[in-house]
Amino acid sequence: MEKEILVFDNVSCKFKEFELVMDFSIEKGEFITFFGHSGAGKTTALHLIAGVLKPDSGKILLNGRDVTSLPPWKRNIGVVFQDYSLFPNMNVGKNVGYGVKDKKESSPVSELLDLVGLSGYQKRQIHSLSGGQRQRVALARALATNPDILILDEPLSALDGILRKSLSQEIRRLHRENNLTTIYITHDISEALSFSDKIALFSEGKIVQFDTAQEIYNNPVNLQVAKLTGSLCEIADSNGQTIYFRPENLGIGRRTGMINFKARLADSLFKGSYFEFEWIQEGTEKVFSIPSYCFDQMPLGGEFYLKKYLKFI
Amino acid sequence: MIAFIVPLVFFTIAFVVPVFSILISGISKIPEILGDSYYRKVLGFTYYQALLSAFFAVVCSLPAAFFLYRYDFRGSSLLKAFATVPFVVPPIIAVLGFVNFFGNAGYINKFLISLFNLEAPPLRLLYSFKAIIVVHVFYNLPVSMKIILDRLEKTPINLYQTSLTLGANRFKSFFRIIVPFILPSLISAFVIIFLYCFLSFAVIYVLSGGPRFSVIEIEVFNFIKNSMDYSSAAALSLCGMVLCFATAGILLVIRNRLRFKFQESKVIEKKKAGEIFKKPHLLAFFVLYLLFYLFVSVAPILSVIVQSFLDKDGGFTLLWFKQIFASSMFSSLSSSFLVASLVSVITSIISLVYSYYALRNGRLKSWLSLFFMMPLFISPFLVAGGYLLFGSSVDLGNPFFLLILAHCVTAFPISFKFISNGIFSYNKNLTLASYSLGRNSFFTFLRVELPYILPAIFSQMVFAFAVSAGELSAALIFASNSNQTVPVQISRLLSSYRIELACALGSVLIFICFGVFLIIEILNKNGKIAEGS
Repeated sequence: MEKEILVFDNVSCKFKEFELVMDFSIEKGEFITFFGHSGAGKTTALHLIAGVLKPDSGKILLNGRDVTSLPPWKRNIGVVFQDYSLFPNMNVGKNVGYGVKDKKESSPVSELLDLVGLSGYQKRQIHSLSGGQRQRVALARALATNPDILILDEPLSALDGILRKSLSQEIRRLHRENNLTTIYITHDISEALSFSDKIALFSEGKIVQFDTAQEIYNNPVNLQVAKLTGSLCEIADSNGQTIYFRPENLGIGRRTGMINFKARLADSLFKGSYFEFEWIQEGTEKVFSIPSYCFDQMPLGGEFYLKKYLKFI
Repeated sequence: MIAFIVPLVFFTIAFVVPVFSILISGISKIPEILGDSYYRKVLGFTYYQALLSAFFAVVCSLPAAFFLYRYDFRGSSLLKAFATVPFVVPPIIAVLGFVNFFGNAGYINKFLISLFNLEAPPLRLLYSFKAIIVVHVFYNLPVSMKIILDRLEKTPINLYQTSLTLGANRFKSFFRIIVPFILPSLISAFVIIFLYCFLSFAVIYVLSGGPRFSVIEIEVFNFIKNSMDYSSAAALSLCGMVLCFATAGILLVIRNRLRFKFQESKVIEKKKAGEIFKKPHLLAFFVLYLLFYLFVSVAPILSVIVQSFLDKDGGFTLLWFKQIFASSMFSSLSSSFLVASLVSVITSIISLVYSYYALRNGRLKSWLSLFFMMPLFISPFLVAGGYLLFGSSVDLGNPFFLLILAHCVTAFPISFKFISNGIFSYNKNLTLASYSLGRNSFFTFLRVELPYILPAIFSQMVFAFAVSAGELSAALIFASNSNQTVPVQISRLLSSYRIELACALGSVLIFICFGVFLIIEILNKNGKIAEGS
């Protein structure tokens, strides 16, 4: 229990026609990702943790303390918003130092700017910064109050590919070095799978699965989660039942005791570093796509077996 | 919640209660008013002049709107800013300018007399129906231009281009594609100007020259000020309101039916103004149009300032200003300044309190917003009459205090609109960011939200000041010989043909309003720089 830093104890919150129900906990130092499509409830969850919204029922515990009715400014939660929400009327230094109350202490502003790679930017105006620099300032500002939990609300969504990669590495580095409990909100599955200790998968106001990235990918609780978390192929077994599997679980040839089937190659699409082969299952005409990197060798016969397929609860 | 209650209570006490009490007192008098052919004629004339003024204002604003839509040139933003003219330049100044420029002894007549060696002024516009319409049209033209231009700039030009590629010529494409998009804005502009002209007082009070062109507002003023017959004033007002709101209502229903949802286009690439030289007929049209606009709208107001520095022989003098500062007229200046300053401060406090509420709870529901905009559509005489009606049973104290209250009510919709627009684009995450950084609600308001809405607060201060300084209706009701405001003084000087003094006083009013505008702008700029440094 002592390891748990944030507990949602049967929390429910109605907002217009939407209801969010949550009952889970996060351990200290974990990197958790809230993943789900728009409208799944991720932002409402953020507002509940930050204290902007109050739950209709249930309790929220932070470090073992009931914070359900605590106003946002007393919770010590750092938030980096999707749009960064930097104060346009203050320069970089003032933004970063905004939450520092004890002015007598040596200012952490320059230290934090060093940490995010923006040394010497203190006097710069917000409007003169690039997207990546703004993101770093927002990160430094959120860290300035030594928050118990750092929430990153889709912080990379407004950035281009190269910048996304370098900043995501930086976020992970900061997490590792500071062992700071971090909640990362995203609707990008590759970010969710690669960053997190655990993923909370949101759908229609509920966390449908809360587990490690590997577990969610390999053993999704339902078809919806399976579709959300990666490529999915479907065929029919000998009884006509639909079988779902990840493309990398397809084997070439026949194996007794496993599901075997025949397929013919319908098309191949060049995708840059690999090809994607489109196959049609013989007898059912079901179509599935397998990237070339899933095969050790090019299948010649068109006979396949499934190493593993997905079983939903 | 208290932040919402403060403006609501103020609005209820200062506006709703007095206006509703006086209106209720007038219901029984309606048959009597409608039975009198004179008041029926007044109602008809008010309606007619408002319809005509609104129609011509919209039609005359179309070329300006299209020109600013298609062409980019230095000073175009200045022309767009002209839309605020009717809110900053008091109607009494516009009237004064008209009298000084087009009057029997005005600049144009003097010029024509000397040019053609005439004995009598050839241009007799004053005290005519034409004069009323001309002033209404050119005073309101910028408002119409702005409304139409705003809509034009959102019109999906790609549809027009698609129409051209489908074989329709420019003319057909314009009428089939562009016109349906801007039609609702034409009706919006028409309704706003119609309402404004329906409640017009200062223009007709000075330019009508007698009961021949009397309108509802003049009769209501007479009822309240001269005969203290509040119920007849309310009855006549009620009849007018029914007529006016029914027309506006029908037009707005039509407008809403004509509206359709569309994706706003990106701003079109405007042509450089120089390109107009390639089209001589278009160039000639716009040059004539601009000259005519400057001649009818801008020149009269400039003539007020020029006239105040000229003696009877046309030489430079400061005599008129000296006379103002040496006489009792100076007290009207100090009164106006004091009243306008207090109104500006009071509306700012209410705006600040309201913005604190709105930033946390979002914008008000549209019907409640409309409720706060009510003073725009209700005669100021009803507000003043309501206070006097109350004052007959309860001692409300100094009329000076009542004048401030009435001006606060008049300025309230503008303040409300400024604050609503000011917070419209505010990013609520900024507040949340401040909270998450451990700062409480009040600190967040001071450091994050206030700097954001401060420009809107400053702007509303200027406009509230200008509205109060130029307001004539309530000021006439509460004016006494010892306690007058500048617009009241100007109207009296005009009626006694002391044009030079009226112009000097008008100039001082223009300078004060412009000065306040400049000070606030400078403060605004410095404030931004200080915060950002």
